[in-house]
Amino acid sequence: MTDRILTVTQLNDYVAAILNGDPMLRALKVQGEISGFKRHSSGHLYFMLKDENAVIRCVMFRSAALTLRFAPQDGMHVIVDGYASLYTRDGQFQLYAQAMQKEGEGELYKRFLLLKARLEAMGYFDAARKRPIPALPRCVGVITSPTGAAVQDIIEIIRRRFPSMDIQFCPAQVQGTGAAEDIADAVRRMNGAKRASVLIVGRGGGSIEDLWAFNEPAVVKAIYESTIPVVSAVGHETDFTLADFTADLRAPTPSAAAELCVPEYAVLLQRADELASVRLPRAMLRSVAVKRERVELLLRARGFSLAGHNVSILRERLKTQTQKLSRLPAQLLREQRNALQGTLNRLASLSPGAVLARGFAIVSDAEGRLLGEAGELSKDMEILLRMRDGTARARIEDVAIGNNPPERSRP
Amino acid sequence: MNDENQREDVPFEALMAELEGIVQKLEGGNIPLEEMVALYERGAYLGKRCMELLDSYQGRLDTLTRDRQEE
Repeated sequence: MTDRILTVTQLNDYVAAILNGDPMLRALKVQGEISGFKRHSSGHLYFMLKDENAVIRCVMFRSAALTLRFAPQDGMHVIVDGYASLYTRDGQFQLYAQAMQKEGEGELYKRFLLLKARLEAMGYFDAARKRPIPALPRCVGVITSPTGAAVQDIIEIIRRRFPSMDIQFCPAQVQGTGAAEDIADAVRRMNGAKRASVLIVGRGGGSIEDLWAFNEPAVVKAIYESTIPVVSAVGHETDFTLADFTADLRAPTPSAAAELCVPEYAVLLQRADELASVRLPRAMLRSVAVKRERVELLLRARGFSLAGHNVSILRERLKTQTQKLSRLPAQLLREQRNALQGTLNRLASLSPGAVLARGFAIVSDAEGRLLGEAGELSKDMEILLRMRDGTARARIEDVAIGNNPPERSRP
Repeated sequence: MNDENQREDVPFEALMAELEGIVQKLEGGNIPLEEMVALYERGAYLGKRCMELLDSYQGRLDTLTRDRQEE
């Protein structure tokens, strides 16, 4: 340890020299995501290059920038050729970019597979956790870009299938820096708002890079933790993102998602109407008709020998039934009342009391046994005649079978 | 009725399933009159609830906005 006191310049120069002497740092290939990109008026480019855990400052001088075959943007995944050193003036360690290319599809796809394996092992894609999508949602939540065709397609199809469906829309950035966090945040806020009973999360088609936000762990985690079921709708039929694997249901496109989430109003209405307005009343009418037939059969079988006691029981039952049926709709009720009234009338006319009221007498022998035929009578037999208002005891003088009465016998 | 209040949140499909069951039972016949009337009443209520549910939508399109400032 020397007592030598260094100036700042000397220190920085010293470190820069060390770095400049390292062969690896002289010729680097570094991959990362661009953020904070600025094009200076001088033509130099200044940006950060980052991965999940670290960040480095970058500069690309004008001369190198002129060779670029694309326009760098925040959120882009790139591979930078260059060297790393210390800029002595501000003591900043930075990467000097001499060339830059977009991360190849192959590179991104490799990264996709690695992420997929990692998140799958953590259980984010478990089938057991997936929830069913409601057959008829109370409100559909939609998370996608406010510009572009996806949101318009989704809303158009929802309105076509179920015009009065309630929709809650949360706009979100779907690519570029901050998109993943924006989408994740939207999912969380939908859960907080507690209105939607299903969420459609997605965007229209694009390259693997464009869709990358839906592969980010932040989005996967938010979808996994959502208590509202999520339908993912990212890109085209052949695009699969990690959001699709985590979601409760994957739709191949945003339009398909709308069809999966929302049933057709007309179909539901027709089903409900047929059950409630056609089959239900018809079944009820038929069942009641069967019951009524049975009661009439009973009455017909018993005929005159009904004791007054039994008749009044039946009359009471019919009365109670009429009262119960009075809770049915008026039309049904009217029909049934008429039918029942008919039955009651016939019942009333059959009762002994009604028979007597019409002036007939009930004939029985001295012991009270009913006599229904003239053939049961004989001369000098004692009989009882029960009439409407009283009973008479009589003795048979003469009997004649047939329509003509017996001749009066001369004493 | 208590269980009726609990059923306020029962979804459409469940109501339809119960209504279907009642209709089939009535179509089968041979049910005592009191039960028949009770089933019919329940069926009419379920049908009414289904229609009410279908009519309860308002066609709203709301946007859920951030409540924090944009950076």
